[in-house]
Amino acid sequence: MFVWTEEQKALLDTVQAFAQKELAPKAEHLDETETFNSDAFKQMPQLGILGILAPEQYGGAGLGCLEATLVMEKLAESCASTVLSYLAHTILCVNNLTENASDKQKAKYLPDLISGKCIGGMGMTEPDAGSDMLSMKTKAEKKGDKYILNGTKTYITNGPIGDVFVVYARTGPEKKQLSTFIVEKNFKGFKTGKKLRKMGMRASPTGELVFENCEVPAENLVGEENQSISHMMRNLNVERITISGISLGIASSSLAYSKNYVNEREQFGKTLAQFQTTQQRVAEMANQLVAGQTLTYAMARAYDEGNRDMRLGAHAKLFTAQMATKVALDAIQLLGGYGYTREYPVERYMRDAKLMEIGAGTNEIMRMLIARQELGLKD
Amino acid sequence: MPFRYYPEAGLDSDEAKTRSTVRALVDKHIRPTIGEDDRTSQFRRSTFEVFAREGFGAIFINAALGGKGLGYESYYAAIEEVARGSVSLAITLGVNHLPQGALVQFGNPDQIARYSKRFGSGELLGAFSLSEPNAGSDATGLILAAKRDGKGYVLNGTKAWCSTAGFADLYLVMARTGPDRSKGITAFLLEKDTSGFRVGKQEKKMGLCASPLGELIFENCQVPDSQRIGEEGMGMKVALSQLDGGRVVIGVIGLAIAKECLERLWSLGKKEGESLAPGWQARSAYWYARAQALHSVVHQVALSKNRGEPITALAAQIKLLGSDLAMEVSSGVVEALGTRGVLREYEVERLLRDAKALQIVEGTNQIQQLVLAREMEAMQS
Repeated sequence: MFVWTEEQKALLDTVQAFAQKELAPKAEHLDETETFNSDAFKQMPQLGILGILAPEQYGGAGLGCLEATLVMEKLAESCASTVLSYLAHTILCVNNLTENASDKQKAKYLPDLISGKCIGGMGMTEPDAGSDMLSMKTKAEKKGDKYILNGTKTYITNGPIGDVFVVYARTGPEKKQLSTFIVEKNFKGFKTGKKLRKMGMRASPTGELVFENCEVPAENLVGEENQSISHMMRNLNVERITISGISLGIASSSLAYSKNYVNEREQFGKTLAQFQTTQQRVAEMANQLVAGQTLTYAMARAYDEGNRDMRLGAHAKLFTAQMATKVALDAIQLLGGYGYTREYPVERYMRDAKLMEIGAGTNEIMRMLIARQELGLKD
Repeated sequence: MPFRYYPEAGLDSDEAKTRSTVRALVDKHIRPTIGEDDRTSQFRRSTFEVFAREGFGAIFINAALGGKGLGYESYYAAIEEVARGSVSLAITLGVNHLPQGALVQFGNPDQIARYSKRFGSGELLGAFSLSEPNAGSDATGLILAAKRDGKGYVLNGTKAWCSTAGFADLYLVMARTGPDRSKGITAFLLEKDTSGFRVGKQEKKMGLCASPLGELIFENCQVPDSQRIGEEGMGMKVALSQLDGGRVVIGVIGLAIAKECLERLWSLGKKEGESLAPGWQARSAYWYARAQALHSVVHQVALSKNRGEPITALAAQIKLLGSDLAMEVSSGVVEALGTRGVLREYEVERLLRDAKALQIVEGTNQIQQLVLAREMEAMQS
């Protein structure tokens, strides 16, 4: 339905072949055992996707937000939770550094992250600072040539497996006095806390990062002190556009699975596809998916063309997250009893989709962002 | 604190007593273990027995036959209170009452004498099996064969999605004894040790994890006449007589999920001393209004059931609205709680996974709409 360039087609073909071979066959088992697909992650550098937005000089692919989103979608058709970890690495860590770090910092960290030697993540959320992120309490105090970090981050994707984290911490009493640091897992005073058990996205490890007088060299401060807000905002917009690709992938698989099923399953002497109620539901699912794709691709293109309006990510993510949950629920309903069992993947699609309405800013925060702009309200 | 719903249980002393007894049992015996049971897909017979010892294994069979002899207000109240702690166990208890209903309604005196007291004491746990791999929504498409053979029947075939399979002692099974889609079906009450009968694979599910669901396999399974419930060919009538009640149970469980999630939203969804965000206040007010309406309709259907009136339309309405409300509220509250919403320790995600099943079991919601439309057509003519 959509028209892609030859390069985009080639990228999609490569990624799809990889997903079908390395992700799809393992997705069910990894969900069941709540394990990270490290084999697949190790192969991602060969596809050139770990630094998809990063400049070529550091091993990146130098592509745009649209390509990154398409890759997320294609991979998520097979295993959304592996893609969530991929996104935390590639967008939250690698792209954050690409956009905000100094040349020296980039030279030090990007090559290992992009070649897959290190796994990256990002630490923003805290137990008492979720949607209200400016209330974060993790503190960084400068002592000589070091910053001393104290506090706890939670709900961190890749927390239990990451090597390098981009971490936000408070450097002053004002709400907006936040700074960005690069923290390696073997820095003194850093440890990972408990791994969290989740409803879905179970192959993507989530956990706490704990800082107890954690010593971070001053050279690992990203940008100037107290400048984090602009780092965050820039990266959150990219995150919200590209994460929409995950929602699209989940919805697309839900629809594909449903279509096969209703064409084969017979009840009352005909296939489910021959019932008008089934046709209406499938058409609605397809319509929602195409609407989500159209919206997301348009927002990604706008971003690539230089538009930095925070509504790009908010619109794409708000619509696609809700759409993915709805379409996955519809798929379960079409499969009936079968859809509810773990023998069929659609219940996993739904559990994975639900997180899309929460992570990277909840639906409510997306609506708030949109409303503020639409209504001209101040923060 | 729980929100208030009218009529309050206090209007009927049995119901009030049932609610407080069950609530105490739920707090003591279910809440501490349900997280683990959900995670490990474990059914605890011992928890069922705790409820059975208090008479909740056979709530509406009358006392002379060994049951607790309560009315349907109390039955639905008990199911609702159990579901707040464990949707899985509420399903087990609800399903357990289906063969009991068939027994007292269609069984002969011998059969009632043989089984009702043992249901009452909790010695027996019952199951109900209608669905087959190729007969889900299309129930009368079932093909499990029951061939006449001397003084009994020989059963061959497979049943699917039987709740409590493998843990139940007595199974109400619908099988085919003739070619007529509906009138060629006969009901049997099968003991678990019957030769030629075994339980096949246990399903792994998205939710209802502490409620087993499995296949039943019949290989030259010999069933004597004495296990037939009702006459030959009456099986669909027997099944349908229980399905309406079963649908109310599903709707009531949906109501329980909605009520439980609403309370979690108001306790977890705001910081200490602050009020709930206005957007969530508005949404939860609307959910509360719908839960209240449904709560009242459940009392209405209980009264009808006590009087022995047909409840087909009401049951379909309750199942449809209750399961949809459960899905909407649990999904909304997961979202409202943010990341805590999807974490297993906060339990709302479990309620959401459980809620989805309610739109599918006891006839999908699409089937409920067909049933209702048929009832509406009948009212027109």
